[in-house]
Amino acid sequence: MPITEKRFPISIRFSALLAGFVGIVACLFFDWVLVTNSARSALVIAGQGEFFNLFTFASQPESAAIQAFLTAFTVLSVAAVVMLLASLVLLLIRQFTISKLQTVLMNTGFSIIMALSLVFIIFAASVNDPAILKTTLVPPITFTIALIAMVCASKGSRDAVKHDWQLYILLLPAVALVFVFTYLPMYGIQIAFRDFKAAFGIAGSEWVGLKNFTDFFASYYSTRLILNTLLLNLYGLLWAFPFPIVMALFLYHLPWRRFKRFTQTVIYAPHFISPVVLVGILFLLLSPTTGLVNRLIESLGGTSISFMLEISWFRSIFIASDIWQHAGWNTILYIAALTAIDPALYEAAKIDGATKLQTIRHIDIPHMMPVIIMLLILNCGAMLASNTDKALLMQTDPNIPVSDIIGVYVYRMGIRGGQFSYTAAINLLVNVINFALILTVNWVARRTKQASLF
Amino acid sequence: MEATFQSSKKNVARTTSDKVFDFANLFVWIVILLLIVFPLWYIVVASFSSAEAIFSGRAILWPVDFSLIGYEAVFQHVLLLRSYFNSIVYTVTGTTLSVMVTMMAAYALTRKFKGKKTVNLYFIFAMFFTGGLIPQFLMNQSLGLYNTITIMIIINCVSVWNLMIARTYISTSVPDELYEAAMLDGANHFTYFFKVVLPLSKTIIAVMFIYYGVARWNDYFTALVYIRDESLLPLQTVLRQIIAMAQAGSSLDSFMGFFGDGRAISDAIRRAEVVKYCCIVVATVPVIILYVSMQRFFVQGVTVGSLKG
Repeated sequence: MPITEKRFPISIRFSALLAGFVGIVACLFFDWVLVTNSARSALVIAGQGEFFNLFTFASQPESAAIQAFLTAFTVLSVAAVVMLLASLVLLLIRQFTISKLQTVLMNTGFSIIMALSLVFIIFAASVNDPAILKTTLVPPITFTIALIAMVCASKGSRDAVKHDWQLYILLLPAVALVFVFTYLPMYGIQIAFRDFKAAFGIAGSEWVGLKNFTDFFASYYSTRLILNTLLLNLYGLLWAFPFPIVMALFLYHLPWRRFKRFTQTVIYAPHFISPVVLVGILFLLLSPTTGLVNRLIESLGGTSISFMLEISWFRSIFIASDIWQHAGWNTILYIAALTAIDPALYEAAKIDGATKLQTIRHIDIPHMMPVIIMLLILNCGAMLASNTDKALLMQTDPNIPVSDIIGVYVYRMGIRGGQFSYTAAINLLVNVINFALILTVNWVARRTKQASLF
Repeated sequence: MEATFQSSKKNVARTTSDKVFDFANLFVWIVILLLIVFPLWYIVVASFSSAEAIFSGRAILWPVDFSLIGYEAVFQHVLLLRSYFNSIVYTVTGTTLSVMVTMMAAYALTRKFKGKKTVNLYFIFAMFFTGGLIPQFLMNQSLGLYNTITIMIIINCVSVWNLMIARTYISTSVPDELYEAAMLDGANHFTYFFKVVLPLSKTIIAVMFIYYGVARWNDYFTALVYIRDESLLPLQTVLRQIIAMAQAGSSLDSFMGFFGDGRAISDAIRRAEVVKYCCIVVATVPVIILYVSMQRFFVQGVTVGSLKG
């Protein structure tokens, strides 16, 4: 399909431009008011005069750090505004298209400004001044609006919308739902830096900076929570990881087709059992008075064990039941890798007189290696993730010292205990670490030339 | 898939050492299958046995003193029945919505259009970074979604992971020539999607139904956080309440253990234990039925989606 040469009417372009411009002016005004206010209060506290503006404030020796910050910030704001004006001028030129050079310039500029803004935001958060924090948001917002305005008004975009509007409509529901349930809550992350009180709302609660984070690290629970989460994942990886590999190898070499099919059906099935039911089964089978396992132990002359209450059994049961439930399911990727092997290799091995074990050792395992390494790396990226669903169900009062992982703690103290800000801070910390881990791990996967996630 | 699965061995004669290997392999698999099936089988057996037979350890492989006392109690449990109905409503509506939204977006992502990279990044970022439980809770609460049927249906409606699987499936299984031919015949994206892509994607639609359906049926945590009214609770959350009594039972266990008389439990508690076995069976049967009936789509669809995704 050729892309049509018709363009959007000038009125639409102009109104888009106007909207962008109004947005920028509003941002700048907002910026000016906040900077002035925060500067005034800072100077009043410092015993300085009342009359000043943005630039003179930057020259007041109030605090070296704040001064440097504001100077850099001003430069950044000016850069953003210049960028914006340039884009507005460009937009007014007819038949504007984004060239390769412009794209590169925009991307680099955008990355630099975003990175600097992030540094500023962190700095502002540590100063414990919400006004300064808000002003730091201005350059990235200005910049983003400028970019969107440029991209939207360029010729290619208008043609694309005209040509592919149905695709955008098909995408819309998914984009909207993800926005409401994933992106919108990110606005609420700020309560991690506030002392959240329901009466004041998210934006109205008192700003406390990094207090929630320092509180967490100062508390007795921080080490325990992180260690519990980490160890549960680490032991889980060590024990559970080899099972699907071995199972896939042996499944693949079963010569009876119908039996193989049946086996596949059965070993996938436990994956679909709900965590409530799984943990329910554990409680019933392992109960010291009525459970089958303890009846068996007693009939063999042992004494019954309160499996679900004892600290020493929690991780073993958690991991063993995970293996029982998911090992079969996790063979899928390995089997897919095995089916991709060229059958000629097996025949050649056969002619050379290889036994099945030798085939496994010299053909199958090398072919599975990329998948094994990819999954191993991925698992390493999830070392601080919490299987909250299951751990919460398996938690009993006596086993709290080991069953308290981060997800469970956040639920218990946050949703149940109402300590929203404190738990939001813990959650944010872990999410950021997890995100960084996944990026690192993906980078490693790319470097080692294995398949990467994105 | 099954074809290549087999062809590797057909042409080659089996030697003695291979036969030994095969039978050892078979033996190992029988043991594994027993280990997987037995706990589930035992729950079913216990649910049909009398409390006495279960706790004395006589009912293991087959129901002893066949009784339906547990099931009678389950079907008289008003809250449980109500929540069963709720779960069916949430699962059916939620899953249908999820599959529709996912397939639409998945198709769009297989075509070229302006901003595709951005949209991809938008979804992938959402897969790896979220605001966390508390901000999500507060935002949804301020949107007026707390304690509503709506949130039980539309929360987690789009799983980015499933979206990527569906996208990979469509882009590998629906040939591009079809698109070009359809466009020459004057089709637009809507007609092509509904008349060509959907009919050719039955396998992945079935897989999506299982993934989304099972996830929604099995979810107890959402209701734990967002639902206050008992009449809106889904089955799994109620089931958790019933099984949470097992925790109380466990402290009772340790109490009994302390006095060295494990068997001295009252009839009421014994009966409550049998009810738990029955609840588990009743809650799991729909999932098993769904899984078995969709099974023929399964191996193929899952592998295709996951291999390249």
